[in-house]
Amino acid sequence: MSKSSFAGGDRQPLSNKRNVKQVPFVELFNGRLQGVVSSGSDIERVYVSFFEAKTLDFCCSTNNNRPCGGLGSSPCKHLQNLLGEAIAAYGSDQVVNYLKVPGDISQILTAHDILQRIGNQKRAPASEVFSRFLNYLRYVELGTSYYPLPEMSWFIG
Amino acid sequence: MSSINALHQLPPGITSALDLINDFDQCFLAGFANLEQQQQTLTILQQIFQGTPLQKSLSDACTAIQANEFLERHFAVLAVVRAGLHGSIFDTLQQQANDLLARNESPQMIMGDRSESVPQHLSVWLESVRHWLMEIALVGYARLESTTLVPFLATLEQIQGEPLLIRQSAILTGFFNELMSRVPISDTNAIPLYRWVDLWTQSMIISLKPIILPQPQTVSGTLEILGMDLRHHANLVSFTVYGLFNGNAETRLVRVTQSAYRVDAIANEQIWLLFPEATSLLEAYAKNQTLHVSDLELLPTGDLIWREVGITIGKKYDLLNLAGEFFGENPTRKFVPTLIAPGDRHPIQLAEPIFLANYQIVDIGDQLSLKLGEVDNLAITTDRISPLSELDTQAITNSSQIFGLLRFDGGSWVLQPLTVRVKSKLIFTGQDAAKIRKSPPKNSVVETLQERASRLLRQKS
Repeated sequence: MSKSSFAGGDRQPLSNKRNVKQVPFVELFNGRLQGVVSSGSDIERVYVSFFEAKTLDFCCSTNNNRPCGGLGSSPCKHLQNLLGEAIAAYGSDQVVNYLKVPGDISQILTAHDILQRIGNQKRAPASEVFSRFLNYLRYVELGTSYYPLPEMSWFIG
Repeated sequence: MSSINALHQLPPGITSALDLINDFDQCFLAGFANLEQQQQTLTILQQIFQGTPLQKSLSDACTAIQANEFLERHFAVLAVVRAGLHGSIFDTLQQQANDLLARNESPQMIMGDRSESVPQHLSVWLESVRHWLMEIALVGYARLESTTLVPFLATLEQIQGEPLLIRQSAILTGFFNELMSRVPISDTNAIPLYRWVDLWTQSMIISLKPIILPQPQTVSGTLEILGMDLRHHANLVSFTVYGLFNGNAETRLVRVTQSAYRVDAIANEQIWLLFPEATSLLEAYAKNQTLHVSDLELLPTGDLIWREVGITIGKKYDLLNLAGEFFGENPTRKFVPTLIAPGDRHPIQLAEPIFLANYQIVDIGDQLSLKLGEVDNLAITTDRISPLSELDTQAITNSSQIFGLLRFDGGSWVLQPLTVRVKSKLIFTGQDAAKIRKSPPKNSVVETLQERASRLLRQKS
């Protein structure tokens, strides 16, 4: 048993490749790859999208729950952008593992490979993901602290 | 300084105390609701704590748990017991480092609390933290699922919004993220048990009651920064600089810490855009220039509370020469050390400054080690160096002088470099921070997200 306080800690992948203008929010959370994708035409509008782990069922709608027009039996461009950003942020290994993509993992390397194994369209309220997004944005507005934070000794990166 | 090899010989009791903690941590793997042979460890713990102020509450806690009576206060006692073991390990190891470096025993700290009243709702949130921690302990890491974790988000978000609970927020957010990204766990051997019980314990300890900062003194003088420790998880980045403060006719080692919330997309040098109130600090540090400060608060632990008010930047100093005078093999100058508050004493917090020269760096199977003379050696830890640091293994390998911190992890002493000399150049964590602040990249992630935030969060309210 390791006595190191750092063994097995999260090491955040560091990505310079994120495009937050197009996909301001992406996360692997609670059994989903989920996030928010900007509308190409309207700056006030965003799309809320997710892929479910295991089934690879997918969903895309506006934050007001209007279904995405580009969505049919295959994922729309928002979902494709979301998947691309997830790979940029986490690396394809982690995304494939998290989504538990069925099949031979060594053959699943790109967004295209994942999209080949996609599930069905699904309806779900956008509010759940959207409130995660609002909370995510809230982080950049929370204040700075000037006091000692000994607990951060456990978190190196 | 006597031979640094003396550090390889740990003082009596350290290894067995760490082993005991490891045995105790098995309870958290199985879950306190499912204990079997792990009960023996509880019996051993009770024997060890006999005659201490914790004797009765520990015995009550163990009896209750064995009878399947699970109350939050019993788990608080278990946290205090585990933290107590680490506290005594900390004290013993600190003494060992002091002996080796011929440094004076750490002075007693007077922790007068500020007379501030704490809002009632904080206590309610902390109660729900303790309750959540108890649930985790009952289930055990081996069986932990997101159903135990997700309901805690509502409390966590409240805590994040409360500046008085920044310490709780920092650890709970990191801990929550880490657990969420790993559950359910298919291979129990892959569980970082020691780390996760550390995080559990520390979360519990600082959630027993709101933390009230000790009474500060107001100080004026000069500050010369020698190095920076950079720490971060997905939602928070925190730096601590170590420097020498001259004021009141003495020189003290001080820490200055600043922390900012972040998101994972802010993952490169842009983190420095999150520190608008550290501009002069980072600029003076980058150029090794003295900071003249007035009327700053200094806590009894040696933590200086930074404000960018009344700061002027003075002349240049020779960083590693200065470090050598205070922390080298034959120091010529004395300093007042920093301290760790009693409740925070865990070996992870040991950070004894040290300056080394005339060494060789050897690379033994991915492990850098520093060789002094024929026989003396000290392992170098890269676990503690942020991927965002300017310091890398190449710089360390090519270095001729190091200022760093003597750390303890994984059962042994290691060196965490903060600043190194490579030929005539200094390389140190945080040295490019001021540059980024001065000319931020166009369309930075920080700016884009802040713009989104102001649009969407205002719309919501």
